[in-house]
Amino acid sequence: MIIETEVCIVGSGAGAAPVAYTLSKAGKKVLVLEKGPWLKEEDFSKDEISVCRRPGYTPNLRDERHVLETPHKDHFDAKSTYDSGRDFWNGNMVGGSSNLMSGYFHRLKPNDFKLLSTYGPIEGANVADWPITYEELEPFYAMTEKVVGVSGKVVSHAQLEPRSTPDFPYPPLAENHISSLIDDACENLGYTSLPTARAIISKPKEDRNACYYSNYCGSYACSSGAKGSARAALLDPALKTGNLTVTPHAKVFKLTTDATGKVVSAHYYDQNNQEVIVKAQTFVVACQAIETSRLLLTSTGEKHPDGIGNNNNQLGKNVIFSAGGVGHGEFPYANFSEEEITKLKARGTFVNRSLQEWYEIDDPEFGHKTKGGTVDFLWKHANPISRSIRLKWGKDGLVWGDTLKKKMHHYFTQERHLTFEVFNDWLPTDDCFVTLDDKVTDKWGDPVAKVRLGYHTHDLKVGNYISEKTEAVLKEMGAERIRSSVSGSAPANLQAGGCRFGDDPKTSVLDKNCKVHDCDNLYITDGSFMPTGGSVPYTFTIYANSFRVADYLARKLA
Amino acid sequence: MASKQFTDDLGTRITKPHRTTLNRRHFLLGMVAISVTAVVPSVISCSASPIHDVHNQLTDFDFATLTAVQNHLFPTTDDAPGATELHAATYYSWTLMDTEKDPKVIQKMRDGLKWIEEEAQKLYQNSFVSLSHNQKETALRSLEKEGYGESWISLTLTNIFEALLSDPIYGANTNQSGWKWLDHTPGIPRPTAENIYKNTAQ
Repeated sequence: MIIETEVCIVGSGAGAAPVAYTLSKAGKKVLVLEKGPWLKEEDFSKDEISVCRRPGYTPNLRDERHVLETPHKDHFDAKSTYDSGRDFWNGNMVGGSSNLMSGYFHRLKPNDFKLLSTYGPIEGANVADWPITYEELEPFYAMTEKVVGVSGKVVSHAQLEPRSTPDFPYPPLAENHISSLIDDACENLGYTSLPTARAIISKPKEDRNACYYSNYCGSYACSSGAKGSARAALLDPALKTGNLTVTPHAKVFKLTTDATGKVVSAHYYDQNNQEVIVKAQTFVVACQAIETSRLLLTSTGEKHPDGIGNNNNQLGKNVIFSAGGVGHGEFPYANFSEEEITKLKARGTFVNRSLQEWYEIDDPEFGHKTKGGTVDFLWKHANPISRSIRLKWGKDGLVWGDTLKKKMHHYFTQERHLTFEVFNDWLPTDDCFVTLDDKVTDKWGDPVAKVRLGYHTHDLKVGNYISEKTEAVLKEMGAERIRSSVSGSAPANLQAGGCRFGDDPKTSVLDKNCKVHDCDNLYITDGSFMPTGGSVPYTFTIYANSFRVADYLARKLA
Repeated sequence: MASKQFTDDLGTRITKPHRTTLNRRHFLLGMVAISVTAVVPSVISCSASPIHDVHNQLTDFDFATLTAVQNHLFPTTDDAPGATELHAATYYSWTLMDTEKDPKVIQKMRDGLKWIEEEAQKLYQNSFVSLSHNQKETALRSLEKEGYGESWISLTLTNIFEALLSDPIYGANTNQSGWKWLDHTPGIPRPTAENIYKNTAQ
């Protein structure tokens, strides 16, 4: 079967949907191809078994897997995720993993666009300045806040980035008593506690309802439409134009190019494993960094013998994740009054506090000014099964019987648990990249992505520095059993790079408009474009950049 | 929810690095005396729940071993349900039926029941189900010393946690007894017959 359209977009998540939204509203006929199913608000529940304990929103690893090369002392061990059990998929459904995000929406800072020229090179890292400035992206951060819907409150602080609007379009979500305890501790320590902006609307917006404080937000899809998923916030309204078609269960496996190097068709397997061909004038790929690199590497042709965008051997290189770690502190109810216990126990309200005190580190320990990172505070997730699992481990092995039951009862009923997460730059290196595996294939017989997951030791140094500082905040709050861990383990849900943008085709895959250098009608609009990642979760910047490219495309195709 | 997938509270399906399942010599099985008289039915009545359809996943002997292991790991206490009230053994059997689940894990869940019986025979020349409380404890602690044994017991505990704290629509966590014991408030909306696992599996 052959389908013809004007614009074909591969993927339907945060990188894809702004283009679909903008171009369909501009009158272009747009077709979105999504590998996963089309689930809607009424399909979602807060069922830990189907969402978190079983592969409800991701492919079965038997059918589709990755090969991960993990670092050891002097070598990398390659193992398929089917064999290791380390699932590297995120949300496979219309709207992608934005359905499941927590939606911590921090902007990048101006210096994040010029990391190399601001802080200088780091040996062993491929740090590069971006070909655009913060000022060029700023209007699209503002657009994302308005269109996707971001709630929060702007507070003046040393690291606050310039804004074209005074505040967020939606007021902050309801907060738990613990937020005021964080504020007090930070004030005592001389730090500025920041309200965390969230891609969750606190008031209704068009067909979307406000947040209903389910207490199950991150990792779960939203049943009210409050979370600013690409599906609820952008695809649903874009469908009303009549110009957008979304096709689920469409696994794109190849882009075909002509003798001039332009993409002429996308090929996908439908739900019945039948091949379908889509012809279009313009193609956009945004199926998350690893799968985007994989698709381009697979798509060889006369002008692209090593894959589209790979004529200078840059495709799949400089993949980045988010470095950092997590920490915890326990708050025994015995240390609080009855009134405070009632407030702390209130379920569903948010912590929504961040620290950017160390976004730039100026400490003799580092020798000179160094890029730092962001800290987000949050309650330990409500998932009871997942929370129980670590309780089975004691000092000397497994715990069971009466001892286990007493431990569980105390943990669940006598204290609350606060978590913090540190986000700092995962420096791009020659040891973090995507290639095609030469042996392992998916259920359709296509080679899977092989991902080398090397990291730079500087990432750990920065992460540990910030974690230690944040542990002091928990201590000031009166938390007990404070602990944190920082590692070089790559978080699959925070991936970017592989098709970095830049002015020089010899060192980048995309130009500043995210068009592939060696292909005139192919744009990459997920996180693949990022040469460096900043020290915040990526989704906000992916949305903003995709709106920026969409704006360019709307003018170009007009 | 944490944004970082390396946190331990993301519901990840891995809680500790996988341990290699070693194939033990099975000659010990020949020593197993089939002396269990207490036959526990492997089908329970809990209409319209997924585990209602569980049948013939385990021999009666293995099902009895499983029940004894689970009751030792998670006994009934005055204030809380135990494995029996939670229908944990049938939940475990339901897990064995899951064709979407990693077959290596399923095999380990089956093998573990043989391993603990072998351990009981080795230590006491008796079936696990017939051991005293202290003997069961010794047998389980002895098996735990082996990497594969620790891995299986760990897996069994996690499976009990699922029986304790999953939505009662699956047939365990009877009358929300697990949730009530731990003062847990479920998220809304709760699952329906249409969107429970495996109906959501891709």
